[in-house]
Amino acid sequence: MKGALRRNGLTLAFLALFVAALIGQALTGVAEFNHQQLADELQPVSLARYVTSAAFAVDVAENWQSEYLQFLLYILGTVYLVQRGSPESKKVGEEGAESDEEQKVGEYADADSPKWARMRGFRLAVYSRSLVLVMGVIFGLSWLAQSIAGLAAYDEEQLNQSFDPVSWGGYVWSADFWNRTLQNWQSEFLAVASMVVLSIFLRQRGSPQSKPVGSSHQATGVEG
Amino acid sequence: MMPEPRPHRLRRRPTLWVAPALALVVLTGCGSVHTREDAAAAAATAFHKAVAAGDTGQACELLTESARSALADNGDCAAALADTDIPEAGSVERSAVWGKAAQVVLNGDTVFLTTFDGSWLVRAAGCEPDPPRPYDCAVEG
Repeated sequence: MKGALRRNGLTLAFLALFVAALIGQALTGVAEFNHQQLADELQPVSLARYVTSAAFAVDVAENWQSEYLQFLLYILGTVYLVQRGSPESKKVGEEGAESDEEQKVGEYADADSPKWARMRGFRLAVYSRSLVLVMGVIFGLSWLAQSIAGLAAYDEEQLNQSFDPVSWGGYVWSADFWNRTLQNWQSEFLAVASMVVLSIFLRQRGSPQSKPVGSSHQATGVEG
Repeated sequence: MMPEPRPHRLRRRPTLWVAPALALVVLTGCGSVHTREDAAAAAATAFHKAVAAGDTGQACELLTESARSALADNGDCAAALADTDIPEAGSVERSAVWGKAAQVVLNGDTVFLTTFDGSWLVRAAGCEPDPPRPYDCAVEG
């Protein structure tokens, strides 16, 4: 048990942080929501009602979609683009999907390689892109959830302000939908660019996200 | 000695499978929407019937507190409502319910409602479109 906790500590720690942060978001969210309800002379809602509301769902989903998009683009971007000196990047000249030998697929597979990596054809093609495919599906579903929950929250606000409600098609072209989307995207893109560049010159001893402390600034694709 | 480069992989955050569940929660939350639309339409119709019958006291019972306050500072909602130009309205053309808010479009008027303790109350009535601004309403709280 103790060994399992240690072996999976990174995942478990972040899942615990996720749950704690989500609970915190719900508690502060209902307080803020009810503050606005009272300001609009509308009835406050319970915590249970709030966490099943469109207002809470859209706030959660808009952050999820942007996180998954960030990783999706990062995974794809690091295949074809490099940054000299960054441990996040492959070495200059190694851009691209790489050879079968480098990727250990087909006849180059190891004895303990995943089953689909040893095969040719459709299964290898799918498995070779499985990380991006799954991240892409989660991103797409999160974005869809944002649009559905966002529509519900937006139309409730529209009605409370004596405007006509809009359709889903109208909402996904609305300023509200794209403002929620882009304000998340810009921060994710900045965070990735910062990570790539700062890791050229700065170090965190012991972290695989960093080069070893004594590595040169020119060393690329070296993890500590 | 420089450590051997490790394979490139993404390792910053765990994958979560919760987005589909979220979509499901949102969609199932809309399950009783037709019942709620009917209830909002019934409240809007009842308000208009009371106004048409001259029973403004009963109509005031169907208004939100803020609408009553906006209508009559001195608290005499019934008298103030009797002096307000609420257009006659016929059958329900369409209703929309989102969360705790609703819009009921009647033949002759548009009414906005909100729920209080599970009951629909009229927040705005006698409303005419005034794009791109909000509806211009005779009664609004």
